[in-house]
Amino acid sequence: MRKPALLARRLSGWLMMRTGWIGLLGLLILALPKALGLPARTLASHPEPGFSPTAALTLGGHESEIRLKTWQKNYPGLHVIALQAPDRWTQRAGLRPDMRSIADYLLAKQGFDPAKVPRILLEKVYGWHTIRALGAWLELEPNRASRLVVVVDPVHLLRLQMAASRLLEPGTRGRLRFDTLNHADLTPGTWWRSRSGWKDLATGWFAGLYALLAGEGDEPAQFDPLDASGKGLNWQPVNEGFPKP
Amino acid sequence: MTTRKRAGWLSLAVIALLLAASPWWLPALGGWLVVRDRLEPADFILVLGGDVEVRPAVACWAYHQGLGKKVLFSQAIDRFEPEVPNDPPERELIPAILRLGGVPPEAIIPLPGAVDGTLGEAVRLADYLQEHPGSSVLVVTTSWHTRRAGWILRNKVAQLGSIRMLPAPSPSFEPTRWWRSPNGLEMVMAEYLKVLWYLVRG
Repeated sequence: MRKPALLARRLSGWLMMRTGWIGLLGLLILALPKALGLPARTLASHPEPGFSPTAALTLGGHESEIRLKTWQKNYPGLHVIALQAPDRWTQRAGLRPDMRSIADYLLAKQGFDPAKVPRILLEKVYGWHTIRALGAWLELEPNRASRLVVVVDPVHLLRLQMAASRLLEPGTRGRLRFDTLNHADLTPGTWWRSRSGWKDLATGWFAGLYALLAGEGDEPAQFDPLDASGKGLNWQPVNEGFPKP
Repeated sequence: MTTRKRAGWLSLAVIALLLAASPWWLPALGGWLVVRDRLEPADFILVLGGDVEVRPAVACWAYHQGLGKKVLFSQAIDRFEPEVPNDPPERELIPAILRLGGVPPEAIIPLPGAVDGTLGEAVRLADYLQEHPGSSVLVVTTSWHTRRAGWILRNKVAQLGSIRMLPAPSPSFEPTRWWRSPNGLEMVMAEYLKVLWYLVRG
């Protein structure tokens, strides 16, 4: 091949290689913000625009009542539902206000009329049981809760989605949507900038992975030191490893 | 066999070995966090802050077993606002539980000063033992907390008195089954991170 042609060919090859790398780098720089945000997006879920919920409840989280109010404002006929955890032994003993009065107080503080808010009573406090209780309630209320929005903290999303997919019938599952709150440290644009962002992301993924691999896991044990009258303590250690005094 | 293949087989062998030995090392990991000292009568029982649904009740049991003449408790700073105005803070709830459990009011002694964390409690206890040197203290805390709490307390109390640990049960942590619940797994991992932090930073 003639020298100028060879030179031109080599030069064009050189240019193409550099341009290719530069192009790739440029693509990476352009795609990086979106790619960085992807992990946080795995912990975000919102109902699709045409969902039109008939009921909504929250599983807690920062300013979750504001999100409930927004749903109520956008869907005026929406029924707000509340979950009520079982009383702890300190509440049954009268040392702390009971769950009913706490729920009433919080609902009133958030601008809801406690007398008009139906309660789903939980027997236990852990995520899978909450989903079971929700599923049972959805079966009982096909009209009022034909489409239910559940407002949650994003850290709990994957675990609850896994529980819902395993515990609920497809028809019931289809009536349920999760709506994740805006977590200040867990937004797609900022999660990697703070320690709590990393921690919350890891916690959310870990909980989801655990639910995927191990399912429900063991239920928390009950600790109830109240005596039969409920007015005194009568606790004895039952763990066989517990040394006798 | 190439180095890469050898490394691959070795990794598989390690994983298989870990799985086969898991009935041993998994409970051992959980069990190592729990310290159960020999139960003997002590001058004081100390209830560490936190897990208020469990620790004070166990302290009541210890008191009625004659394991302490008086019950001390830390006055923890409330990290969160109460959900409702009339929900008592921990520093009021602990003595209320102790009284409900039959501990006479004169035997319930708050450690002076607010605290935030185990280290703060250890400092307050050391201050208290300055006035009661040579005392023995039976410390009640949740089972997974006993190893680290014991280190911290003994480090601060040093020559002032003796410390023994009494583990209180945890609804979410059972040493021989901790990995079977997400809460148990999270607790153990968090506690080992704190143990590591303590070993490194002191």
